[in-house]
Amino acid sequence: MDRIAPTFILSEGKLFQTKKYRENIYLGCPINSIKIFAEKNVSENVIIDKSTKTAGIDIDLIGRMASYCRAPVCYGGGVNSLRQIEDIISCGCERVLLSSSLENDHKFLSDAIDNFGGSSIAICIEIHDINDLSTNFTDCRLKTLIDEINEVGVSEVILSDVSNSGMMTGLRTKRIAPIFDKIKVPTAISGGCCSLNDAKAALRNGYSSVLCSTLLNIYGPYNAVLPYYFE
Amino acid sequence: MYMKNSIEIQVLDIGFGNIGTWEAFLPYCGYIARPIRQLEQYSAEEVLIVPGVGNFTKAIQAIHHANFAEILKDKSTKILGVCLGFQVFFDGSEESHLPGLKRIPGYFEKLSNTNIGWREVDLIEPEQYFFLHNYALKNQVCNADVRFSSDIIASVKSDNFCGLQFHPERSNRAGVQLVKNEIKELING
Repeated sequence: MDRIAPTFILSEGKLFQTKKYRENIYLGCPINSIKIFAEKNVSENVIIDKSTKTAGIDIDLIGRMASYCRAPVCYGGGVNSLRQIEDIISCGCERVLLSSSLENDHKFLSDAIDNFGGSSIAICIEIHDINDLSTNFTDCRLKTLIDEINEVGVSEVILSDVSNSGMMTGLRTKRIAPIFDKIKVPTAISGGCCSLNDAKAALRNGYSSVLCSTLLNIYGPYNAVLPYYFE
Repeated sequence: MYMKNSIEIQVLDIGFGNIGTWEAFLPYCGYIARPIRQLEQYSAEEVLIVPGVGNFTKAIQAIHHANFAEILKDKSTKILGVCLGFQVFFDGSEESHLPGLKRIPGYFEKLSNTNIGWREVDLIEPEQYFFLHNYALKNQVCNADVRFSSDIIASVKSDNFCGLQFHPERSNRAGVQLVKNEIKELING
């Protein structure tokens, strides 16, 4: 089964399709949505919460969403402590996604792996500018982070092409290749997937999985909300 | 989802498993999870599921701290062990300086990369199951029914023990059918 994962982007408990990672179209109840995708036998589920800076991590909601999944669940958003990782795994997620918390805390990744195993941890690198490939990390930190990832091993790195998210113009695998080529662990891609062929091409090019939100939720010229998955 | 008169299945919950996942998953198999947090709650006649998401060292420490080591080593204990909950029953792992429970001979080696994704394993029939692990058993296990996924051991069955390297609780319908089957086999001996 190809790993093409629906991404559930939450903001204050509601599900949204985003454009350039900003809330765009309200998709409805996250529980309802994840149940629909579970019935479609998806390969995986990724839950991202954008609102944790103001609202904190909603463990109850994550647990309820995960309880309806029959494929693996990865959660990301505001994770910056070992206790949070423990709570997220206990409530029903197989993996926890770390990102910005790794900018300043250089020990957090190794502590997380020591406590929960590398296979329970994934890392998200957000690419903010496709021209200079600047990310949510400083250049210096990005280099040391990738070196650390390659040495200790995590389950996966997700390259999130933020400025392309929600645009449905196609995954920019060639443009982000300079970062992809430096990473030695399985690497996923997110942002701009426009079709099943587009996703399959990325998988053939060496990406371990493709994360999709807009492609699997929005249909037609009037942006109808229609959850969809491939046969 | 919750069927009348569903059988309760013990699920070890001592700090290293995805208990929430199993509580939600088992009703799909026709069972209800009964979390076992202390020795006093455990019943020797019943099947015990040992789930596992985490670190080998922490898991072994938790098992000894909760005084479950002797019960888990005992070959009369009926066990369904999953992922880390499968690995702890062997001699040890490169992940940890602590020995495993040594119920079954074998040693887990670090993979060059995380084995993550859907792989085919022929158990009841060839089906795809979800794998997510960094350490694997590669050498043949004696006196056991062993199934492979490529060159990695995917399952080991021996003496009231069924161990699965992959996550059946996250393997869609194939996982449901497999767990139903394996629990029934363990119950019937």
